Amino acid sequence: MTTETATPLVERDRLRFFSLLIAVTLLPYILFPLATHVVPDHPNVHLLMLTVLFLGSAGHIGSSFFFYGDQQVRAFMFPGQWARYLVVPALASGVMALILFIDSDPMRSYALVGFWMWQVHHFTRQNHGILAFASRADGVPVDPKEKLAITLTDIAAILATIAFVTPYRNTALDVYGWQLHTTGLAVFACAWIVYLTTRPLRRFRTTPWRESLVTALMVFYVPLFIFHDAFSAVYIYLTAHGLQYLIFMYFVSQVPVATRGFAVARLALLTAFGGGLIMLLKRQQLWGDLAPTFLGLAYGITIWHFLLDAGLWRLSEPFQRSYMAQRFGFLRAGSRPMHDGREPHGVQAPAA
Amino acid sequence: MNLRQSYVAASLRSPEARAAAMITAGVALVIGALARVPLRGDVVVDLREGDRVGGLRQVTVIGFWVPTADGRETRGPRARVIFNRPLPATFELRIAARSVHPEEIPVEIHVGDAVSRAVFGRALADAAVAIDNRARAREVTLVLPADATLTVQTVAVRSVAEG
Repeated sequence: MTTETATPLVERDRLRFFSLLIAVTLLPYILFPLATHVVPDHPNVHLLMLTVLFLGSAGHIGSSFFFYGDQQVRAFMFPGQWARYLVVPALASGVMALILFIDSDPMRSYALVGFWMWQVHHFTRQNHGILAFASRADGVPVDPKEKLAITLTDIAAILATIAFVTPYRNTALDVYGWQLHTTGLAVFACAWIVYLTTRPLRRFRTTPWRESLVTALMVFYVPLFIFHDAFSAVYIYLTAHGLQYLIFMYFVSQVPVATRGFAVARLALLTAFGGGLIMLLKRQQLWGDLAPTFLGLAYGITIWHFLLDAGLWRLSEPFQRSYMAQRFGFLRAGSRPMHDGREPHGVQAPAA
Repeated sequence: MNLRQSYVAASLRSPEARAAAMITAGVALVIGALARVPLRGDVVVDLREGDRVGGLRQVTVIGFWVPTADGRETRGPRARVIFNRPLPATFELRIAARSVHPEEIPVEIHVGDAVSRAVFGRALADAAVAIDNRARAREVTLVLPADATLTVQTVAVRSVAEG
C-alpha cells in the first residue's frame, strides 16, 4: 500500500465523498417522518419525499446498468465473464417473473419472503463496503467487532423486515411474526453492545468522518424498531441505501475525465428511465391478468442489480480493485497509511 | 465457477458470520423460551386497532379483513386470534361481536381441545365462556357457518385462579 502524501484534489474528493454519503444517508431519516407524520398535508414536502423515494428505490437500480455501457467493464465482462454478468442474472430475473406468473399463493409468498431477505442482505453488504471505504480512507483498520456488529444488524433487519412487508402469513412462518420481530430487536441490541465494546466515542476524536459514518450504519435499521407503519419502518432505510449507491455511481462516472459529462448524463438517464421502467412494471392496474408477471419482472431486474453489484464491487478481485481505485483516488494515493500497516479492506464489496 | 470462492460461500465462511449466527441462535432460544411462559392477568385485544409489529403486539390475527371503527369482519369460515404466549390454564374468554350476515350467527369457539358455542345477532353483544386450557393452547379460533360474516370488536382474556 502506498503512503504518498494526500494531494489537495484527493483530499477534496475524500471530503466530498464522505460528506455526501453522510448527507444522503440522513436525508430520508429526516424527510420521511416529516412528510408522513409531522406535515402530512404539505404538497411540496410530499413531492420531495416521492422524488427522493423514486431515486433511492427504483432509480438507483436503473443506475447500476451504467456498468454495461462502460468500455472498460464491458471488456472485462465479455466474453470471459458473460455467464456471471449476463446469463445468470437474466435467468434469475426470468425465474422470478415465472414464479409470480404461476398462480400459486404459497409459491409467490415464499419467493417474496426470499426476495426481501436477499434485498436486506444486499443493503448490509453495502454497509460493510462503506465501513471498508471509510477505514481505508482514514487509514484505520476495520475492527472485527465492527464487522460483527454490522453483520448482526443485517440479521436483525432481515428478521424484522419479514414481519413488516412480506406475505409471510401465507408461509410456514404465519404465526411467528412476533417472534421474528422480537428476535430481530434483541439481535439489534446485541449489535449495539458489540459496537459499543469497540469504544466508538474515543475514535470520534481522531477519525470523526469515519466514526460518523459507522454510527450512521449502526442506526441504519433503527426505523424497523421504532415505527409501526411499514412505510416508515422499511422505506426509510431502503431509500437511504439507494441514495448512498447513487453517490458511489456518481464517483464511478467521473473517470475517465475526458468523457465525464457524457457519463454523468448517461447515469442520469439510466436512473430516470431505468427507474421509470421498474415503476411502470409495478403498476398493477396497467397489466390486467399479467400484473403479477410484470411485478415479478420488476423484482427480477432488482435481482439482476444484486448479482451485478455482488460481482463488480468485489474488490478482492484484481480487475474490480484496480477499476475502483482509479475512481476513488482517496482510497489509493491520498489515503493515510494504516496504523498497523495492514490493508484495511478485509470487507470486499461496497455495494454487493 | 469455483463455488468455494463464491459470494455466498465467502459470506458463510467469515468469522463474523459464524459469531453472528451463534449470537442469533442464542437470542432465538431465549425468545422461544419466553414465548412459552403463559399469559397472566387480563389481556384485551382490540380489533379496531391496526396491526402492530413485534414486541408491541400481543396477537396475530388471521382470517379477518382490515380494521374499521366497528372492529374487523371475518373473512371466511375460520377466524384465528393467535396469542404470542400460551393462554392461562383457566380463564374467562369474552368476545364482543355482532353479525353482518345473516341476522343470527352461531359460532363455535375453539381453544385447544375445548369447544364452546355462542350466538351473535345484529346488536353488539358480549359472549363470555369459561375455558379450561390445561393443554396450554395459545389460539382462539372462531368457526362460522360457510356464508356468515361476523364483526368482532374485542377478544378479552381474564385469568381465573386455579382450584
